[in-house]
Amino acid sequence: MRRVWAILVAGVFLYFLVGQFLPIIPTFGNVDLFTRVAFDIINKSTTTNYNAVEFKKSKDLEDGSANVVTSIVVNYRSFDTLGEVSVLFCAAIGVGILASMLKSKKRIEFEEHKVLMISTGIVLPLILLFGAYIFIHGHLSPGGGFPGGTTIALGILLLMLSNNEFKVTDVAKHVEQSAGAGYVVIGLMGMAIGGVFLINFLPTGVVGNLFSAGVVPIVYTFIGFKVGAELSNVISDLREG
Amino acid sequence: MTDFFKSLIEMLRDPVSAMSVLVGGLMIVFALFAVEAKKIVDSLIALSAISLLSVLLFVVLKAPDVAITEAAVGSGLATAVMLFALWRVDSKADSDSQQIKKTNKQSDEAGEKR
Amino acid sequence: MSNIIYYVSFIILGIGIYGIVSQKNLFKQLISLSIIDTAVNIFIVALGYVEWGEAPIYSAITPVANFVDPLPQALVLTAIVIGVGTLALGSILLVHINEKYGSLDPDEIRDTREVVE
Repeated sequence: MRRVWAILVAGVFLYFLVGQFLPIIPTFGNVDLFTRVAFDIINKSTTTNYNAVEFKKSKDLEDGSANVVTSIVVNYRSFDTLGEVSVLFCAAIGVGILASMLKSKKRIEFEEHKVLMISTGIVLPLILLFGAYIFIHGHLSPGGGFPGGTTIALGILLLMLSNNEFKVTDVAKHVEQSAGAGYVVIGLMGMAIGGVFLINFLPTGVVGNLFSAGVVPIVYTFIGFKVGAELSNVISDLREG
Repeated sequence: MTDFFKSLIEMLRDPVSAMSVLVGGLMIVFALFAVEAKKIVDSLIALSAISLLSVLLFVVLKAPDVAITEAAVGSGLATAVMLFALWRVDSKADSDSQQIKKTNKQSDEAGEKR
Repeated sequence: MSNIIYYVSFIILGIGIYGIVSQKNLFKQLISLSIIDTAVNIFIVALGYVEWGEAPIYSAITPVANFVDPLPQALVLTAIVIGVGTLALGSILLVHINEKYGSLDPDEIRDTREVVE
C-alpha cells in the first residue's frame, strides 16, 4: 500500500515538471548569451566599458583571473562563498558535539597490512602536493579551494586507514580557526582600503600569469586550508567517538 | 518505421545526447537498485556509483570545475562518512527485510536464554 | 527530442522521491535525499549549455570567447559542498536516534515513544 502512495506522489511531481514546466523553458542548447547577465561577467565589463579580453595581453582589468567560474565565486559573488564556508563550519561543529555525546565509546579499529603501510609512505606526499597545486592554481585552471581541501582530507584518511595509532591532534583545529578568521580579515581590509566589504584591493596584473588577479589566490589558499582541516576533523570525530 | 530509426541515429551523433542516453540509462538502473536493495551497504555503494557517473555528464556539458569538485567530494568523502556512521549503528537495524530481522531476533533470544 | 538530458534528470528525481515516501528505514531515506541532490545538480548545469560552446577558461586554445554560461556552474559548486555537509550531520543524528530508541524504523520509534510518554 505504501508503494502505491509513493508511485502516486512521484507521478504527480513528474506530471507537473514534465508537462507544465518543460514547455516554458528554452530548448536545450538554444541559449542567446547576449541576453543573459553572464555576458558582462565573461567579458569582465560589469562596471567598465566593453573591451575584448585576450589571454596574456590584457592588463589591469577589473578582475584578472583566467578562470571565469573562479572570478564569479571569489570576486563578484564573494559574500555567497562566505556563507557557504560558515554553513560547512556549522555542520562540522554539529558533528563534533554530537559525536562526543555518544554513550558507547568504541573506536573503529583497522587491520594492519604491510603493503598498505609501505605504499602510503610513497604516495601520501604526492597526494598532499597535488591538493596544494589545485588550490594554488585556482585562477588559471579548473579546481579551486574546495576540491583542493577535499583532496588533502582524503590523504589524511589514507594515513588513518594504514596506521592504526594515528590521531588528528589539535593542530587541525587551530589551522581551521585561523584560516576562517583570515577570510573575514581580508574582507575587513577591503572595507578599510576600498570602502566596500570584500572588494579586490590588490592590483590585477596580466590575465594568465601566476601572480595576477589580486586577492583571489590568497582567498582560495585560505579556503583550501580551512576545508582540508575541517573535513579531517569530521572524519576523525566519526571514527573516535 | 525507418524514418524513426533514422531520426534516432541523427540525434545520437551529437555527443551530449549520446552520452546522456548511455550514462543516464546506467544511472537510472543504479538509482532503482539503491532504493530497493535489502542491505544498506549495497545502497551506499550504488550511491557512490551514481556520483561517479554524474562526473561523466558534467565533463560532456563542458563544466570542468564542477566535475573535479563532484569527483573529489561525492565519491570520496560522502561514502567514507556514511560508512563510518553505519559501522556505529547496531547490527539489528542494519538491514531492511523482515526475514533478516526475524532471524536476528531469534538468535538474540536464544543467546539470552543460554 | 534533443532535450533528453532534462528527461533523464527528472526521472532520477522521481526515483528519489519514490524512495523517500516508500522506504521504512531512515538510512535509506537519507540516501534517497542524496540521489535527489545529484539529479538537481545535473539539471542546473544543463540549463546553461550553449551549443558548440567551450569550457569557460581563457587559454591559448580559445582566441574568441565562445563560452557556455558560467553562472549555473558557480551555483552548483556551492550546492555540492552543502550537500556533503547535510549528509554528515544527518548520519550522526541517525546514530544517536538508534542508540536512544533501539531501531531505525519510524513506526517502531513512534510506538516506543507512545509507550514511554
